[in-house]
Amino acid sequence: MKRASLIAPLILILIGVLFLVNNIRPDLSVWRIVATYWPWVLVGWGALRIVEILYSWQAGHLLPKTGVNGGEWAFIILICFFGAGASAAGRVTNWPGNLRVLGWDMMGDTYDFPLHAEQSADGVKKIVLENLRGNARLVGGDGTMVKVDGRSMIRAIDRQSAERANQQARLAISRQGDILYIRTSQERWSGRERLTAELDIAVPRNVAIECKGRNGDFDVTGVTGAVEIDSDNAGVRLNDVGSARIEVRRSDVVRASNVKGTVEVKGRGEDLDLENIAGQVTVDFRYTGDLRFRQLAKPLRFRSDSSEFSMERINGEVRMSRGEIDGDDFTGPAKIVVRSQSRDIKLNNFTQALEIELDRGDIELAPGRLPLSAIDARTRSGAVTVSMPSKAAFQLSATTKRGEYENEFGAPLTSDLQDRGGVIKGTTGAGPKVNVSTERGSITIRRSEIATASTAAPPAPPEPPASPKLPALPKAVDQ
Amino acid sequence: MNHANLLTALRGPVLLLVLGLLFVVDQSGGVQFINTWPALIIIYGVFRLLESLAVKNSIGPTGGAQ
Repeated sequence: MKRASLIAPLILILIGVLFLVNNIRPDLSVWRIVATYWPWVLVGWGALRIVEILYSWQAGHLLPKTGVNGGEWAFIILICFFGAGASAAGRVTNWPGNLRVLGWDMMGDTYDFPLHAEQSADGVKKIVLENLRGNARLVGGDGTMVKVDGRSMIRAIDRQSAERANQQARLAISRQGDILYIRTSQERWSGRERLTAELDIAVPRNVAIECKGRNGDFDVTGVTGAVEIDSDNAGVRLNDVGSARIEVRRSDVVRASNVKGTVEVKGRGEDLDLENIAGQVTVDFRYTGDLRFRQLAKPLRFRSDSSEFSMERINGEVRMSRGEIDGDDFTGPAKIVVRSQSRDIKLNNFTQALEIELDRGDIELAPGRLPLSAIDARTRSGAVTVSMPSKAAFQLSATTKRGEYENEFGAPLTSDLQDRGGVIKGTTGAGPKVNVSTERGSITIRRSEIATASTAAPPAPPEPPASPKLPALPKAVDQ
Repeated sequence: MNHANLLTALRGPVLLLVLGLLFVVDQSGGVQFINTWPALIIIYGVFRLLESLAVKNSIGPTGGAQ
């Protein structure tokens, strides 16, 4: 009779023991030991299996076809990946003492300590906040004092060790020249306790702010100076600030509103939301959620892993998600380039030149405003729909290499079958060139009406489009 | 003739053992696994070679009676 291998039960026992030891002897930092010694599990496993096989061979039992089967190899590869990752992590940073599962500490308690400090900031030009872990809110106001209130939360086994950590990591305000430093000094404590500080900071209105952290949100309101945020993992919310420079490695949300100067965002995160920005906006951001730009008075330059776009001014709103770009009421010259990923682009009410380059995705354009400007939109695969104002003057050329075409605009545009696709072409007057094309997908040209000449100050050029009106006259004569 | 089967059965565990040892060396600051992994292929090849030799040898005297 073939005896079941000892290895599976032994591994289970080992895992159980590890968790148990981690719980009753947290000072041993079991996971660091695991990160260091995990390869011995493979060695032991192999050695034990060799012994088992030699034993059953000696005893004349039937030998297994393979010593280690497919499922076991899969598990071994998994161990190698996790082990190599864990030891790499252990080499780079301190291995976290407590095991955290989904943000939940598996042991210990949180102890709270109040924080308070204040100092005059007379003549201070810049305030630097260094808080490794925890959320901070800075509010600008009248007065020249810097006031810090909050609490330090220390996760520890018992109150004694929490207090020891608290003694080491003291909140301090120090001044060097015209820079004021606020530090929670969490990095000074090298023990296993986890320190987090929640801070509420009142600062004078006219200072610049610099925040540095590793984990925690920053919330800055009501300062006229430049705000700089540098964090690994942070939600950033800025409102009513002079200018902003934000660098995050991983963030759930970056939001800035009512900024009087430039905004610069760099890094990776989920959502980005910029509203009412008076200065130029530069964004280099790999995002997984939604982006929203509203009321940007100066040019926007956006770059991501797969897309790039720029526009000169956004009066309305431009939104982007992983699958769509949706813009309404903006000023070009605008350029949108998306590579390798699929995006559906829908743009309304824009003026000035527009250029779109797309690999995959539908394009839907409705300039909606006069005067028209040149449009050049291309997609490799996707439907293109363009709604042209009926009174506008333009020279249109719309091509699909493979797909249906529909001229809902009617005369003077004409459509032609071409190969497996078609072309819609025509000129309604001396106007800009509108070129749209798709390699695979349908093309539709629609006619849209514009309610009024809108608010544009120089609506003089839109007057010439009166010429298309002319055909109406003969009609009247006919009657 | 049992030797071939034994070698086949031992191949996996021995590879696993060596894999573990290579990682141990990597961990202790020696040669990195990235540089040493071809050893696994060599061992695998050696095993296959020995197995085929063992099969041939066993077929000879017993006249392929397996």
